[in-house]
Amino acid sequence: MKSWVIRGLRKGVLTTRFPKGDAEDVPLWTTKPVKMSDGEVRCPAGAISDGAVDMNRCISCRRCSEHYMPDGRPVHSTVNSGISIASRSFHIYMIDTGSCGACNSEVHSLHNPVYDFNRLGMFVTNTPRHADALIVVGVVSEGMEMALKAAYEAMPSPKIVIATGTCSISGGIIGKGVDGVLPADVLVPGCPPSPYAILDALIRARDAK
Amino acid sequence: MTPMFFLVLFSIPPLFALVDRRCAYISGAVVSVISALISGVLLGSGSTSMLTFSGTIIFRLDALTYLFLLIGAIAWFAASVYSISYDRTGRINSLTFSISILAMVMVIVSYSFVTLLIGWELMSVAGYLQIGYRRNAGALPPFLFLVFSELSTLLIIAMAAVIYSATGSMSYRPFVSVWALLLGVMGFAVKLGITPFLLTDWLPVAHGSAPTNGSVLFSGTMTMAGVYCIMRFISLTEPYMGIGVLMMAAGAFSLVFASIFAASSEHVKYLSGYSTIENGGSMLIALGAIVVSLYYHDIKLAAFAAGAVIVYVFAHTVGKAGLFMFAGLIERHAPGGRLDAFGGGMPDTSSAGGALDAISLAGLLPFGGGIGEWMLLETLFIMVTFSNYGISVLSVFVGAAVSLGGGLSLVAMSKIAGFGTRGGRDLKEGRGMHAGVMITGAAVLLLGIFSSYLLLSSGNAIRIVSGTTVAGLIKGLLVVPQGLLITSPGPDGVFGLVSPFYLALLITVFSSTAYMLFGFRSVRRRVPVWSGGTSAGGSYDSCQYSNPMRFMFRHLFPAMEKGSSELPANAAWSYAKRMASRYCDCSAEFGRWFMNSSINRYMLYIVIALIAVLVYVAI
Amino acid sequence: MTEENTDVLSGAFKDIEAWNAIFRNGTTLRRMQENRLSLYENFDYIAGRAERGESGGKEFIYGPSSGGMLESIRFRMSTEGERISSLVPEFSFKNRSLKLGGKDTETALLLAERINGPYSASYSALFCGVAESILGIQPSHEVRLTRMLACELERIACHLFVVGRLCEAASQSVATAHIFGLREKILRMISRRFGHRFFFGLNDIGRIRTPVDFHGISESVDAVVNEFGDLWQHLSSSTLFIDRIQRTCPVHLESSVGPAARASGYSTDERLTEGLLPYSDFSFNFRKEYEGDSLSRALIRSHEIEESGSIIAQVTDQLHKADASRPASISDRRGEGIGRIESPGGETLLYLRLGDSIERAYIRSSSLANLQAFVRGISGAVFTDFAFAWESFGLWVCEMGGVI
Repeated sequence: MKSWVIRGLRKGVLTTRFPKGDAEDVPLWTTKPVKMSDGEVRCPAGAISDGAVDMNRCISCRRCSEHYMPDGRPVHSTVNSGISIASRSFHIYMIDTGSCGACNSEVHSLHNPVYDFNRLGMFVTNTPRHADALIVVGVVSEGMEMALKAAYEAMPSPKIVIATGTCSISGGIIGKGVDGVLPADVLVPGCPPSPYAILDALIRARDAK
Repeated sequence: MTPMFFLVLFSIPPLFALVDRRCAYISGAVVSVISALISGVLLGSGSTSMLTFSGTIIFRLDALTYLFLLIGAIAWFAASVYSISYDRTGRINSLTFSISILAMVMVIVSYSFVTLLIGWELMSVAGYLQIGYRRNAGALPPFLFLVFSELSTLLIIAMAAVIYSATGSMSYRPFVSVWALLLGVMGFAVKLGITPFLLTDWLPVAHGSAPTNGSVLFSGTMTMAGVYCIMRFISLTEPYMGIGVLMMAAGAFSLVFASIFAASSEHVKYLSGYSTIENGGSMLIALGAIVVSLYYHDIKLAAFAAGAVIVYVFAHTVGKAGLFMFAGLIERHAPGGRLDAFGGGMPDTSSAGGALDAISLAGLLPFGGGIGEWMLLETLFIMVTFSNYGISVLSVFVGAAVSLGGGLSLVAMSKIAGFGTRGGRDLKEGRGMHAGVMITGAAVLLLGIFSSYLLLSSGNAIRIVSGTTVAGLIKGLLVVPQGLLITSPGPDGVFGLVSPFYLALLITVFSSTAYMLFGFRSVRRRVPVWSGGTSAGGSYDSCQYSNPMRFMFRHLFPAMEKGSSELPANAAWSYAKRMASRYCDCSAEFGRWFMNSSINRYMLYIVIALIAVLVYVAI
Repeated sequence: MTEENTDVLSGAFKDIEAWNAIFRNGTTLRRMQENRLSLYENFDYIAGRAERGESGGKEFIYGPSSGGMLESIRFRMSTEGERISSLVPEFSFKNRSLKLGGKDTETALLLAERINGPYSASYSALFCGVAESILGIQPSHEVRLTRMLACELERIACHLFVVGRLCEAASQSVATAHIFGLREKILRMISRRFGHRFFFGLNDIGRIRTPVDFHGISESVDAVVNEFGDLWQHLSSSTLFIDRIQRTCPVHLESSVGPAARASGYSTDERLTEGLLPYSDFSFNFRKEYEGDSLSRALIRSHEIEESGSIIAQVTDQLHKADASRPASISDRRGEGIGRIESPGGETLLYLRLGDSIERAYIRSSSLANLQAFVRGISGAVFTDFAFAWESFGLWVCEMGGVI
């Protein structure tokens, strides 16, 4: 018991200064690729057209790495509508509709001492009944479509849907996205989005007027 | 008024039954109403009348008879109304049903052992036939019913023999024999479901397998007949403390186990059957308390305990009749009679009636069952102050058992009331059935609210047993007018008090005020259940409701199979049942070989022969 | 492979009416009748048909979407009160029906990486390895070592995650925070070196796509491994923690794979066989436990974290830097191949038949192989043990669906 306390003190503060400070160690290939040289690029996800990269489609496959280089800055998510009512206590429920597990793992990372999103007044609930936001990860599979709708129905209003990762935004190269099943209020790009991107999206959704 | 009147009156429905079953039931209902009115009027009058044919055939009417005729008639009325819609089979059911009632009337108005035994045996035969001729009835339930009925008959015959050898008369006379009383109490207690060695399970099997209107008679009024007889014989002999103690101990023991089995039973009728044993136990405790109080010359307490028995037997007879009718309705729509397989949809009338019955049987105030339980507990509390330490300790233990049983019965009753009344109101059944249930529900509610008046008007009946009335205990206090407050006679004046009328009034006032204030404004939202995103499964049915009970008392149920609809059988019972069924098989084989006919008829032949002998002796 | 029933069936799939079976360590397909296959008790599981079972009795339904599980899976548990008497897992809710058949190897590789994100390095190395052996491409030693390094880093990250989740389930909040902190450290190190926290886009057929600098990897891994070792030693002295996982969900099942198999005394580890990656050039300790309970599985994982650290140190001694090479020349060879790799969850099996495009692919994931062990071990456990049991196996539902 005592030793746990000493161990903790000796370890110091691990938590990132983000969003007040800069984001450290942003995974390079979750940031936006920028064109460096001319040449033919075959983007399997169809994210590149006319030299511009649509991050909502990018799957971090590096097929463009000969001519494009990521800029290293965290991507900003698209916030269509926010939920300012939850500014002090923001509860989220994650539903996995068909992911590869990476997005689940990154959302789970928000708990760890490095990102520690509780410090920002954000919490995970165990039931959509208590949730302000529904984080959808993965493509919408046939088996989970009903469950996704049921979870949305079960949430009290006001509520928002956060499509997290390319799969849930557009379906990526695997299936169909959340569009057409539920209205997506926030789109967090990335395959998987870095914890910073998710955190940033949550903050901006909460603070949006 | 002559006893012949009631006997003739109740002979009408069996005659109609030979013609048409509906006529039998309608005439049964009419006859019951007439006899309820007459006995209700004569109950307070204190009139008696005797009818003697010879030295052995004697009938008598007195306050105690009127009281039990009144209680019985209410239950028979409800059961007859119920049967009009319930019974869709041939005439045998209606014939045996009305003969059963006639036999019970005969038992109650008898004043000699011969007529008592004839009535008693007739009751057994009619019951046996009613169970045996039900479609899909197995060999075991009717056989069990008969075995235990005959056991009770044997004990009563033994009692009669002991008394006859002492007094030289077959008529009821005051007698001085501890053995006679012991044999009698044991014999009659069988009808209350109290049998030694934890072999209580025969009653739910036998009563549960009968057609519902039969179950109503067996569990409601046949138990009442047993209580009547014990009360009658207590009044005829001096109080033997040992027997009183034995009754209290046996009652407490059966009560606890029966209430555990009731709470963990899934079959609606078995649940009700176990509840009968539990109530039988309570009544036996109260009867034992009368004996012990009389032994200590505390006639006020004895009168109070007799009052407890009367309220209890009223609430049990009518309430249990109602509960069995309610269970019969559920059984029709639940595969295997399992409560967890019942889809719901009971209409308002029977839902309300069934719920009222169940609440009363759960022992809640201000219902009849609650008043009875309160009076019983008060009696036991006061007995703690007796000078004999043994009695004090016994009273504490018995009181604990009664409380425990009351708590456990709340599980069983809330289960049947909760899961039996859920869902929409779209169940299609004849109106008579719903009306029958509602009659009993209203009766137990009214009984509870006006129990002080019942106690006052059955003063003469109580006097027969205890030597005094409870008139002195019915009082008034502050705003409670005279006659609406029941008090219990402690060693230093009033020990405890309750006014069921005022309880009912306050509950009504508060709940209707709350409803008027908030009820109309509340918005009901129905949202789909969140169950992991799918609608499948996860329902909370009655089986899960009582699972904690099964788990807590798992050592009592070694024989219970996973997910079986069998009884939560105890070990002693499992063994006895195996032996019985082996015996049954053997005798069936023998019967086939010997009579080349059905075993039921063979059994019937034996019993009828016995009655014939009795009648021959009588003449 | 003489007597079939003594072999361990490790994969079975249906290909145009006929069943093909793959046995442990076997390199060929075996055609078999369904009724003979169904003699193997794990057949229903590895063929992905385990959901048909009847649980019987009173059912308690958990899932598919629930706060306690990381992924979507539904369990139908039959119970008589406190104990789970049997359990039927329904894992196809989130099945994405990944289809490799008819795709070219480029696209198929992208899908293979995404069968299970956290095991992405293993899956892509497996896919590339099998495809290379069919196409006759010999990747350089440097590439093979890089893949191996990635697999070992992935193993550390995944094992840390499993142990962390186990602590989380056992309410060891302080230890959980420490362990997830370490995992984050490893993931960040991976993302700095490999450009992505889950190795997406690293492997390509015959090469690695972006250059990797190995300098200093060993030191930072060592720091994490040492700190974890210290933490684990501390955790082992917490009776509260040990009580919860000791003798929980004990199971011995020969067809199980990976840490779950090694925790119950079976010596199965693809790193010990001559496989796709050059493990035989390096030395590491192999450890078994015999109890088969949650504690044993956690012990095996904590030990493997240490051993992976040692493998990484040996690899980085040989290699300091890996350059991105030119794409391998397209070959038009056809054929079929079976490959295995030890993913963090255990032996993962891939069968691939290449024509103009991929004709048939079958993957038996480690989670599917171990699911049966979980189902068997959990019966008889009390409900509160569910979390310790499930997390100790480290199963991923995403890879249970398999591919077509």
